[in-house]
Amino acid sequence: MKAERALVSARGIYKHYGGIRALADVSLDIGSAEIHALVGENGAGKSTLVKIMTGAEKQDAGQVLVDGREAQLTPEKARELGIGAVYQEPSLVPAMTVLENVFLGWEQRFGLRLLDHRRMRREAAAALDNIGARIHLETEVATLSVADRQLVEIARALVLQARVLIFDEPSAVLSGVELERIFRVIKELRAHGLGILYISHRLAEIFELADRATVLKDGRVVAGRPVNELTMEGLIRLMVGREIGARRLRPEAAKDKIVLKLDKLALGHDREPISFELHAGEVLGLAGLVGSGRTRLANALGGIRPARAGAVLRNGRPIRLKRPSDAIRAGIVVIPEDRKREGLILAHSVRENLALASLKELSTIGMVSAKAERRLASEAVKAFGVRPSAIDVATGTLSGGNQQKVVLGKWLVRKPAAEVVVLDEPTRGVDVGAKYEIYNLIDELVARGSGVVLISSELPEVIAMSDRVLVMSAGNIVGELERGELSEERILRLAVLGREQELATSEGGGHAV
Amino acid sequence: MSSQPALSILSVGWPSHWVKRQARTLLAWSLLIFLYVLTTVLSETFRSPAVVTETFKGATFVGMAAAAEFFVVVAGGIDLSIGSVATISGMTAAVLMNGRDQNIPLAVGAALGVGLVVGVINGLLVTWVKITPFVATFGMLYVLQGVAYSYSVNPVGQAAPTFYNLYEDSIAGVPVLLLVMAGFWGICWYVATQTAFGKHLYAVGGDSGAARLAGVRTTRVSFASYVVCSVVAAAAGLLELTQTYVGTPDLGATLLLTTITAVVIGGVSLFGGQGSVIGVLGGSLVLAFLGQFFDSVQVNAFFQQLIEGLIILALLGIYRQRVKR
Repeated sequence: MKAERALVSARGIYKHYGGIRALADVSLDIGSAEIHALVGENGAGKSTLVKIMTGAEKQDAGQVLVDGREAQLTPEKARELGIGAVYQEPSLVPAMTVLENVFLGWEQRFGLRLLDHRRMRREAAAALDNIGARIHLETEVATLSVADRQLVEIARALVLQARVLIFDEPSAVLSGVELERIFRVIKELRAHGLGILYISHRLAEIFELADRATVLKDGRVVAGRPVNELTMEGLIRLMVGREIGARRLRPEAAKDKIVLKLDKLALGHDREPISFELHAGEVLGLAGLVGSGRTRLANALGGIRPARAGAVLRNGRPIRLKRPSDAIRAGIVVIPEDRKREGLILAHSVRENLALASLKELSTIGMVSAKAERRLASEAVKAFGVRPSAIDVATGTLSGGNQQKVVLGKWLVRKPAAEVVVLDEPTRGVDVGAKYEIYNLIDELVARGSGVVLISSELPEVIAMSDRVLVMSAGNIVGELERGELSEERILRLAVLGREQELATSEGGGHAV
Repeated sequence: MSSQPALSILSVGWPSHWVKRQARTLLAWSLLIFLYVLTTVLSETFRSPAVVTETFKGATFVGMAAAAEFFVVVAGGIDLSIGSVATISGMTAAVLMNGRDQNIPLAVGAALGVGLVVGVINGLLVTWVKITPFVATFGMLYVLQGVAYSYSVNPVGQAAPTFYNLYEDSIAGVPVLLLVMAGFWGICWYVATQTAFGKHLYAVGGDSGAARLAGVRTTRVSFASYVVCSVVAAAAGLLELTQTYVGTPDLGATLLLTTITAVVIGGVSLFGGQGSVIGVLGGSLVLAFLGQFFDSVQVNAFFQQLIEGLIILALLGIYRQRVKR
């Protein structure tokens, strides 16, 4: 693509969050009347790039060019220059009407500070008509479906005369007919000369929609070429292949004792019930894309959001999981994905956080023994390698990796030891050194006989750590792989394409999965 | 909708979206009408137009303060210093007027200036220093009370005759005070619903993240909400001076809670983003009618507090049900 034809270009974008590299030397062009797909695994940096191109975040280095000229983007500036975005979590104000949302932040376009209601109404209605959306202008956004909200966002971009429209994974929140409708709209927009950046990790869509594809891996562009030069296999191969470094292999689990059994656990009405068994001393990996239902499963096991039907059996006996305390009593510990909000009290000290789950054991007749608490915390900090090792600092001042060690430590020091530990993305946002220490903690857990369910979007991590992997897609378990069968390609293919039989149809017909 | 027969009546032939969106406002006004009917039935004195006019006049001070609070609350903040701003404003004006008509412009200007300064400080504390609104304005409340009492623990200054006559004057039979209020509420309604600034207040209070992505300058909007609030609160202090003649340091002590009560009864969500100016007007009139009614049937003020508390709890319960549905 020649640079002068591009409406918007990224040039050598770098972005770090703390010590974590999100983007490195990323360049891409969005031309007019073109659908450009941006693909990559979870955490490859797609969303970061979107935020930079819409002015929501500032890059550390590199430039964004609009019509070949460098632009310092803020959300306001980006819209002024004709860059619109349809976010996955729609960026509409729920308590306001469709009409108010369409013009939000842009009311001044009509000169003065007073609103020209008639004109706003006319333009919004025209834009909604254009994309075939039948939505009443006075409806409160809170009452709309996700699909309708996305249509409102598209209408907003059209009213503002956007020339470039960025779609941030609409297929993660839409499906079936609704998704088809958005696809039709996107193609129509292309016919009208708009440049489209379409983000997805569902490969079938890319082949149905896009003209070009750029593949991101670990924050770098690994390929950017026309879609007709790509194959599904080739695309998958480009997305995978991350190195995790050598890890000594854990001896295979004995699998003689079942510590947890799920029997037809129903998690949602359009999902098949889930059944599987977890053995003592086993790491069961749960792979799948964001939104594939893994966290939902973790929440059900932790009693955070109870399942609708089905049974959970511990050591052969059915248990009740209505609230987190039920799970803890049954010896199931769920360590949540969002440690800052759900796993820790950041303003409290490391000591207080570590002791929080063990207060009963630390107290006599209702009084928590300060001495016992300090001893427990000091031992835990030493055992889990939390740095700094001071136990009275606020937990929020620790690095991500060390915070995670405190979360894990809180449960590992608890007596009696939990027999089932569910880890939801335990190494997200954690630096490499701390990652290995967390892996070692997982090894320790299984060595002492706990069963571990490891939810992770990092395929190399799942492969290196798991004895067995279940792959989830759209809320269902679509495959099970034993240690010998594990490869990133196999997992990703299952996660992206769903069941094997669906692979055949989607390759033949190019239908959305 | 068809599965809910009770509501389908409303949606047939009604602009149902409008009804749904204005439900909280309609509720506040229904309560007002109910109270009015109840009072005229129960109390004979209440049937005279003079008493009703008096009630309306009694609602001006709290109403203005409630409108001021509305602008901050709807944008997702809260201003606890509102009562003490009114106090300081009233004292400043009373002292500077000192009973002389020619001092009125200076006194009014200075009082509003005090409001402006406090509003700017509040706004900076919240948006720039990033102190939680509750704490920032709570601190400001104490600072201003301290200033007021260290200046004088007794009433000070004196309103000028032309100024305090505003309370009793009327033009063509309509009390000036009510004309002022009509104009004031009209402007508030206009700003909140017909201007970009008004829409931005709702957006920032409703979802400041989404508002920011839409290109709204969110910090600027919340800063402005504090400035508007304090200036209007200062104006409310001036208004009260027409009735009290002198500036008193304990003028605004009870104002804060009454104001928030009026805002809540008026249907404004304390989490921001929801509510209307007309609802707040209804809320402050409800309080005025309640007060007048309890005075006329000679029930003590504590019982009135109890009733107000029950009304708040009942209304919030109803709003909560709507959210769940």
